[in-house]
Amino acid sequence: MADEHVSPHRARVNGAFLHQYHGKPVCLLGTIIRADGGGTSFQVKASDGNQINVRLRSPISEPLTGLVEVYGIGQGKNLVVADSFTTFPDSLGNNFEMNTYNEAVKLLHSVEGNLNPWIPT
Amino acid sequence: MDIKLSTGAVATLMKGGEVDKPVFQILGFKKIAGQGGNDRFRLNISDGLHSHTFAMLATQLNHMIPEGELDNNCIIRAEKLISNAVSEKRVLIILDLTVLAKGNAVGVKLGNPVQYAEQNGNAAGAVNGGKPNGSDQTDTKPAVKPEFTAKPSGAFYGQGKPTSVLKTSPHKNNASFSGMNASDCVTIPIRDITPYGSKSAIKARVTNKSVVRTWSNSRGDGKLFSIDLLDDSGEVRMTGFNTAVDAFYDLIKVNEVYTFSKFSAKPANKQFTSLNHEYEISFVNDTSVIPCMDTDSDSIPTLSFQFMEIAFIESCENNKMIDVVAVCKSRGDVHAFTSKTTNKDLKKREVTLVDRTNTEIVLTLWGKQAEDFEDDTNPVIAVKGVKVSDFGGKSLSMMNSSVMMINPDIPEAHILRGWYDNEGMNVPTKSLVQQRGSGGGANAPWKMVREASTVDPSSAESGYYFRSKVTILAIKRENALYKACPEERCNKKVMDCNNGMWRCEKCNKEHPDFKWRLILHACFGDSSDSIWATCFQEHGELVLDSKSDVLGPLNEEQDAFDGIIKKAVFKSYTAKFRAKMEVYNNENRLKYTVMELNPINYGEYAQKLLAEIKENVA
Repeated sequence: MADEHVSPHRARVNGAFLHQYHGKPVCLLGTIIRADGGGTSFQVKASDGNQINVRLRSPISEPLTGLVEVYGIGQGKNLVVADSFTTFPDSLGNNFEMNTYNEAVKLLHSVEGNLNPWIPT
Repeated sequence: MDIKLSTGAVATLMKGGEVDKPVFQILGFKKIAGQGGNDRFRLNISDGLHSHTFAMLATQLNHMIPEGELDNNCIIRAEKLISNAVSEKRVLIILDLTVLAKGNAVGVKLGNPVQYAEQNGNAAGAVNGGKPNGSDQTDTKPAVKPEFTAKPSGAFYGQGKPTSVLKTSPHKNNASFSGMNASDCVTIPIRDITPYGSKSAIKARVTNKSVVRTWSNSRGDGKLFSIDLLDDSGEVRMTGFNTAVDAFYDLIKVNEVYTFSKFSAKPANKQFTSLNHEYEISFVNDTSVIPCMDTDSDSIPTLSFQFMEIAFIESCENNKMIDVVAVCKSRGDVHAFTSKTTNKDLKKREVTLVDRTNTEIVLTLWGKQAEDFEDDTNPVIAVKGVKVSDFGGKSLSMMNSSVMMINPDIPEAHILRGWYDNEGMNVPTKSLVQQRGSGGGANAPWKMVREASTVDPSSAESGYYFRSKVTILAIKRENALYKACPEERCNKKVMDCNNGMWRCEKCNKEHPDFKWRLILHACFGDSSDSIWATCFQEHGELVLDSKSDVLGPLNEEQDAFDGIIKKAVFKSYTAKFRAKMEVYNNENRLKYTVMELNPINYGEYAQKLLAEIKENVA
């Protein structure tokens, strides 16, 4: 079963767009602000500067830092229940141009209509 | 023998009239080497009253002489003849004839023909193959006094073989100007210069004098100089070699009028001159140069120009020779450098010219002219025959044949002076100078590969530059590496001497070792198209992620090298390419070279894309 894992089509979001995807698959890229005790959640600063909470299904053993991309289900305005995530080494994370990325996210959402390939229907 | 010669025919023909099938006696003939390797025969013909040594036998009749049909004293009827005017004389060309009586049948010279009004007797005797015919010596026109001429040559076509037995003593090439009156020579207009008038003279103004050029080849050393001559009928180039340089170079001054007599003419080599004459002439041993008195020179115009206004140069095609008159707005310093292409040491100075079209352009001066130009008074400069080039936008370059006059006394110059002093110096101008960024970077727009390959690469002399984000699709594995000269600045391929030494032709040395160098041919593509381009050392090493000295030995090992290639393909880069048409054995081929190669800077590239998208959406 695990071999046939198919990713759902996720919308790439920042803080401002998250609420549009309540209960829907999202992808959130941001930098880790802090990890909560117990390793079950952490806080991420999204590309537009908003703080988003990330709740993990299974706890992690070590605290995370730097750039991270979270995949999960959006909940409300500032929560993502994460299925999985990707961490990036500092060499990439430190040079990442967050502003440019944010512009790209906004651009993806600016395309109107059903044929926007980046936004799941 | 009762054949009557056409008495008076020579005189009629010489005066430009026509005679129907005249009957002549051939007094003698001489073989000449003609144009294009054909022999020609020059005839001395007589009508019983006059003889004329300027008659040519048409080449189709040449055979009659060795076959013995035409011989001395034979009588012929010229069925078809034409006459060409050369100065005051006419050259007759006999195209078809009938032999009425053979020479030995006639036996004697008929009548007592007198040489028809030859202007100078120097060469007269030579027609009869060395036997001076008494009557030929009686000239009716004053001869050019032989003092200035070199050893008497009696030459046809300036060939310099002394055959005449004139009583002059041999002189060296003597350029003394004494005694001779210029009006004694009958001159022809420059337009009428042909190789058939070896005794012609022209009166002309020297508009340009080149520097003395020397050469040294397997046949020895030599030197030459050239002058451009102008009269009211046209212009012609004259070249003097070796002794002529010594004799005349210092004496001849630009813008002065001289009478040049006796020179040889040949078809012009257009490569070396921009003048518009079918022929060019050379000094011969006999050439004399006589300066003209002021009154004589009034009829000779000064340099003639056809000026193009600077604003129009923008649309002028490259390598065209034009004339320009403009104010020198500013001048640069002399810049000494070594030419990358010819490896010669050159000096140049750039001056900025501006005219009433409020456009400015750079004119490049070279060598001595560059050094000597120190004028800071914003002079008016008139230049003739400068070359248009696309170096640095659009610019002008002085050639060896160009002429520059500073503050010339011509109406255009006066108008410019007035304009510049009153308004021109304050008016903002449009400049045809385009600053070139490093390696032409300013002109390297981003293009999809397909877009770039539709641009005509011959539009810019040094090639067309463009940038693109591309991925390596393939790499040509063979001949990527070569053995090069180990000298610091030399990268020439070395030849294996097979004795442990390697020979470099450029340095002319042998070395016990070599260094490995890369010339990598790779196929670069994007979503539109792909091109094969050449990467040199630096870029090749980036692509293969290895230094060439490591790769060299691996060249032989198939697997290791394959591994390197495999890692290199399908990597993406931002590249700057140069597209240039190159000629290989008369074929034109479009070649791409990698000028810059960088791994993709994603942040930068993303910003560029965002900007483009926003622009396109707006």
